[in-house]
Amino acid sequence: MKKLLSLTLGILTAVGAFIDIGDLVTDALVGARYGMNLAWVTVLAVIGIATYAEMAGRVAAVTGRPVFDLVRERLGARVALVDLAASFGLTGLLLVAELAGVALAIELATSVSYLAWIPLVAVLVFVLVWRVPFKGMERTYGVLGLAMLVFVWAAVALGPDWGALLRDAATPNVPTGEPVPTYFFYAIALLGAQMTPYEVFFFSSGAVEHGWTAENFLEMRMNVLIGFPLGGLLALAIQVVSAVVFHPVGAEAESVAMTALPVSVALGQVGLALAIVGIVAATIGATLETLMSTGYTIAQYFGWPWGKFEKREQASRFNLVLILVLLAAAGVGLTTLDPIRLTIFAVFLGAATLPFTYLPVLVVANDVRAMGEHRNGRLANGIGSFYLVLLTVVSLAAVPLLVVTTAG
Amino acid sequence: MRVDGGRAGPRRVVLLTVALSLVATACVGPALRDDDYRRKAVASLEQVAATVAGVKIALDASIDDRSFPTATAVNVRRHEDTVAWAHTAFATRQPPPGTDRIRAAVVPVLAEASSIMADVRIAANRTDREELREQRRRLDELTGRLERVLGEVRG
Repeated sequence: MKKLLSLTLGILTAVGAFIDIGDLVTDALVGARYGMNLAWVTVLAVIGIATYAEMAGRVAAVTGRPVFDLVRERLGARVALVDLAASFGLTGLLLVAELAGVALAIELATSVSYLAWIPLVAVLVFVLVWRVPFKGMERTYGVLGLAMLVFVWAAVALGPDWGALLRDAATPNVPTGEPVPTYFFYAIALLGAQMTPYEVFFFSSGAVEHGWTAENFLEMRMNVLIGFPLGGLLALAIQVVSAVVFHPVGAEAESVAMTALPVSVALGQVGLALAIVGIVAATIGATLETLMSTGYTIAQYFGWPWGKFEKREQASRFNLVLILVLLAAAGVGLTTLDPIRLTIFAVFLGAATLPFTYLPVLVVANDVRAMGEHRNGRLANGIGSFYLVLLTVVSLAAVPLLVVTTAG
Repeated sequence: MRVDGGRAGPRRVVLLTVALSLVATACVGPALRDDDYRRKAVASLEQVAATVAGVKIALDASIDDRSFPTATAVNVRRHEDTVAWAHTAFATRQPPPGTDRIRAAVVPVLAEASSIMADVRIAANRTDREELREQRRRLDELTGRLERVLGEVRG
C-alpha cells in the first residue's frame, strides 16, 4: 500500500513537472490561434521528453551521476561551459516567468497587482526550499496540481464537436491567412515549453536526491511513462478549451487570465477557483524545479557538493547559488518586464539549446562501461536518435525564425 | 590578425545581443513604404479586434456570474493595456506620403477602442452588471466598426 502511494505521488509529481507557466501560456495561445492544429507538437514532445527522462533517470540510477555531471565529462569543460551559460540563463529566465506566473494567478483571485505578490512568492519559495524535505516539496505541489484536471472537466463540459477537433489535430496544416514562419515559431515554442531542459536536469538530479538505484527502475519508469503522458493530456485539454472558446471568434489568449477564462465559461466560479489553485500549484512546483535546476547545473559543472540530501554547511555554495538566483529572479520580475512575452521568448530559445542537453544523455546511456546491462536498447536508441536529429534542426531554425517573425 | 579578430569578436557579440534584444522586444523601425504602413495598420486593427473579442467573452462570463469580479477586472486591465499600446504604437508611426487616408481611417477607431476599454475597466472594477451590459453592447458596435475599417484598409 505504501509503495502504491509512493508510486502515485511520483506520477503526480511528473504530471506537475510537465505543466508550468510556459506550457500554460503557450497551450492557451496556440489553441486560440490555431485550434488543434498544433496538437501534434504536444504528442511529439511527450514521446521525446519521456524517452530522454527515462534515459536520464536510468543513467542517474545506475551511475549515481546526474545529467550536467555527464555533460561536462562528455562534451569537455569549454563546450559544457557554453551549455551551462545557455541552460543557466534560460532556466533563470523561466524562473522569473514562473515566479511572475504564481503572482499572476494570485492576482486573478485578489485583483492586487502581481508585482506586489512577487516578493511574497519569493519568500514562500525560499521557505519551501529551505525547510521542506525534497519528497515533501515534490508531493505537496504534485497533489495540489491535481486541481489542473479542471481543464479536462471543462473540455468535456463545453461539449465540443470531438470529431472536428480530432480531424483538426490529425490533419495539421497552416491555416489560411497565417504566415508559415509564425506557425513554425509557435510549433517550436510549444516544443520548447514541453521539452524544457530543466525538466531533465531536475528529473535526473531528483533521482540522485531520492537515492534511486537499479531496483527503482519500475518506480522511475512508471513516473515517466504515466506521468508525462498525463501531463500531455492536461496540455491538450488546455488547447481544447482555448480552441473551443477563443478560436471561433478570433480572440487572442496571451495571459494567465485568458488561460483560465474558458474554465469560467464552462464551469463557472467553482471551476475558476479550481483553475486558480491548479495554476498556483503548477507554477509554484515549476518555480521550485527551475530554481533547484539552476543550483544543480552550476554545482554539478564545478563539482561542488549539491542537493537537499547534503547538509547545508556541506553544500553551502549550492545553497548560496539558490539564494542569489532567487533574489535576482524576484528583482527582474519586479522590473515590470512583460512576464508573458518573457515566457514565450524563454521557451522558444530553450528549444535552441535542447540538443546540448540530450546528446550527452544519449551517449552515456549507450556506454557499456558505465551502464553495463542497463545500456540503451534498439528502441530507445532509435527514438533517441530521431529526436536528436529533430532537435538539431529545430535548434538551427530557431534564431532565423525569431528574426523573421519578430518573436511571433 | 589575431588582435583584429580579438576586437571583432566582442563587437559581433554586442551587435548580436542588440539585434536579439530588439527582436525580443518587438522593436521595429518606422515604416517607410506604403505596403509596410498598410500591413502595420492591418496588424494593429487585427490585434485590437482579437483583444476586443476576448474581452467580450470575459464580460459575458461576468454578467452571467460565472467568473470572479477580480478575475474580470484583471482580464480587462490587461486587455486595456494591449489596446492602448496598439493605438499609441500606430498613431506615433510616421506615415509615408500618400497614406494619409489609411491613417485617417485607422487612428480614430483605435483611439475609440482605447477609450471604450477604459470605460469597460471602470465598469468591471465597479462590478455593476447593468453598466457591464451597456459596455458589452458598445464592444459589439466597436467590433463592427473595426471590421469595416479593416475591410477598407485591406482594399
